[in-house]
Amino acid sequence: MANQAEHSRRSFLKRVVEFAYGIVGLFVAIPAAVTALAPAATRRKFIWIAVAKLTDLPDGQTTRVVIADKNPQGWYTVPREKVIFVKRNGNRFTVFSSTCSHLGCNVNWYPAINEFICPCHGGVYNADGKNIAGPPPLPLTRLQNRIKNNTLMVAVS
Amino acid sequence: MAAIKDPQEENVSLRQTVAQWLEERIGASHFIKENLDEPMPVGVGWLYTLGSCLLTVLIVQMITGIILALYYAPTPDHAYDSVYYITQHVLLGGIVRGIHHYGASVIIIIMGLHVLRSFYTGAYKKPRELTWMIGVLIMAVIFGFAFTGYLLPWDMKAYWATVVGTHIAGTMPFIGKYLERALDGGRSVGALTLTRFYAIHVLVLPALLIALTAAHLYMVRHHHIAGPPTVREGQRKPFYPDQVAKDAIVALLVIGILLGFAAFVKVKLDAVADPANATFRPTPEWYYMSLYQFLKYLPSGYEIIGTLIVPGVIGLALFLLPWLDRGPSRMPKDRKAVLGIGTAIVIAVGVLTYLGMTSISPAAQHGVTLANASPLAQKGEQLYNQSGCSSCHMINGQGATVGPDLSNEGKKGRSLQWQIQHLMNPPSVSPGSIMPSFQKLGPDNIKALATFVNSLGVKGGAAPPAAAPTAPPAAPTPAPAIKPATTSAKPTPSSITPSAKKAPSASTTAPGKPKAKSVAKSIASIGNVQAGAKVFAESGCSSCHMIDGKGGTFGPNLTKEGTHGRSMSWQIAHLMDPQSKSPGSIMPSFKKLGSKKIHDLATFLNSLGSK
Repeated sequence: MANQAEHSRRSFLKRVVEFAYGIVGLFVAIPAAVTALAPAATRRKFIWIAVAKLTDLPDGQTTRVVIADKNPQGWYTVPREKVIFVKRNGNRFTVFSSTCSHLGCNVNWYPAINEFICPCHGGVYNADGKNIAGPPPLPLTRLQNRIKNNTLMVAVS
Repeated sequence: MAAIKDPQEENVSLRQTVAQWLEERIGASHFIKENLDEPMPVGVGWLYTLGSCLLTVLIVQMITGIILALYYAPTPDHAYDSVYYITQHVLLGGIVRGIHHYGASVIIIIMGLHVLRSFYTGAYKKPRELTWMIGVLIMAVIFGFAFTGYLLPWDMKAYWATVVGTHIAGTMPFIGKYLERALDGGRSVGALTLTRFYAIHVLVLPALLIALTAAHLYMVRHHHIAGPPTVREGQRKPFYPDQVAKDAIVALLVIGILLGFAAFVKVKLDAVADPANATFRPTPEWYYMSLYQFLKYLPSGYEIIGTLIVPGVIGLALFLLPWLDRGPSRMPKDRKAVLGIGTAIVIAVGVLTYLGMTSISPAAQHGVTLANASPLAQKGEQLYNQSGCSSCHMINGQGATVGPDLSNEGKKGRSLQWQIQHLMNPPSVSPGSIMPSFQKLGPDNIKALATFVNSLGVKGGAAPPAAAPTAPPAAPTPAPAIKPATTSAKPTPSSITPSAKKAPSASTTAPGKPKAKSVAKSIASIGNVQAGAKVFAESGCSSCHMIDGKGGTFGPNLTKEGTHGRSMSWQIAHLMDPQSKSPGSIMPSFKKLGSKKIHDLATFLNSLGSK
């Protein structure tokens, strides 16, 4: 009888240990995981950036432009430069991001063959940004753009 | 009455006394003796020193890592500088960094050999399954070290290799984009990526490594060393000193080689990370080269095979190997299938690594490189990029305009000898040239650079373009690189409210509703032009440089500095280390001004003369 009571008491204490340390673990693990993984839920925010005066963008050509903005990264705001390509046909502008759809390198524009080529794994895009050779799975991203006061502006995130 | 000393007590040396004192409190002597005296299987020789050697190099990495952490600062505006400082200014800092850098490669080599030895001798078989599995986990942790350590110098290679690395994580189905953002600490590689990678590299992975290594060693001792597949007759020798002596000799040799590399082969530090650079080709370290090359072969839409499926299957197969090869025999003749597959994978990795290391740039394969595909010209292209030539010259819209545009240099009919002479002593063939001599590169490099320069604008050559254009223009038009509209763009925030009513049509596909932002604000946010002008005046820049007719003439006139198409990164790097961008420049470094003032000053310089 005494043995049974002792066994029952120990079983209960074992449950107490498991429960108490389990809760302690959760108290630590939940805020730790949430804080560490919070950036995974970062939302895309767009801002408008001035690209160039329209007079600086030659008609019938694709022009490489380096745009600059301020990129907030948590506590730190860095000056950032980003390459975009502006294809102009009269008053119609198509703006391509330079980010390769494969693994994120900056593609380069080669006017001699009217193609974009990625320096990393050899992805090739035609002048319309369509992926035509190599590993890229998607065309180059086209960026939203508009014109204001004779200046081409582009939305970047 | 004088105490009578026990003669036996007198004989007890101080050392024995201390040992006994410790033994009474710790009680570890039996444990230590048991481990040191453990009899080794007959036939255990030099191949069985690899594990111990790996442990030694890991300890060396930990020690050098701690030393580097004393100086390193994990922020984008200090990481590169702190690594540069360690390398250039800290006494023996370059050697410590060299040991840590090359130590990573040594660990991969030793680890690879250790795994291969265990694999070919069937050391993972019962009862050592868990010993093997823990070893595979250690291998994963070591690759994690290599990946996270890559970013820390914050140079071009670090930045772009990490961009590719985190994108690889992003290709994972369902959770990929969240995983990529969690790794990046946001939407792109930046400040939060650096702190994350640093924390993982110096806190998380070392803790895991220590725990797993302790478990691995415990398991090795618990089941004893597997030894050769066949049990041999003979006298078994104790671990200490017989095997430990071999371990010590191998460790001495390996650490000696490592130290030699650290002392005599300087670890490269590329230019500071530049997210706007589109010509840098981020080839990974040799141990990731096979994956890099494999990814090139996968057609559109199949990249997941290279990023996840093949590495994942190989990793999982290694982890579960004890259950994939369940036969009791450790003899190679009984394990032909497993050893055949393993050998095929090893050969494939070796071939891919070789192909990756000898591959030419993708653009070169299309004949539009800056150079054609001859190996010498390729080498010249690398030298062109490394030697800061683009600080003065432009090729296909990339680079500065201080010197002549070289896009079509090869069409000018200059001989190779002329180019070599020009690089050795520019004024000798181009009177009045202000270009510095590149004689210090040495004759072989000068020849490669001359070959590259002479190939510019010339199509074809040693390797015809893989995808030759049907009608290439006679003289390729360089892609114009223009600077963003600068602070001279007058519109106020209110004057640039979102409106496209009067604008020409603009094709758009990007989603979302961007927040309106002024031209002036977006540009001024890089740095402050007025503050930069103040820094210019206070720092005595005008002693050497002229702006609008005021100032010295010792250095270049900066009145139209903003029209040269130089990026902010270029200006910042030039102010920090003028020689890195303008070889031969005698301008002093202005690093001491600090990040804020440097940014302001760079912004001011790029605003000069711009319309």
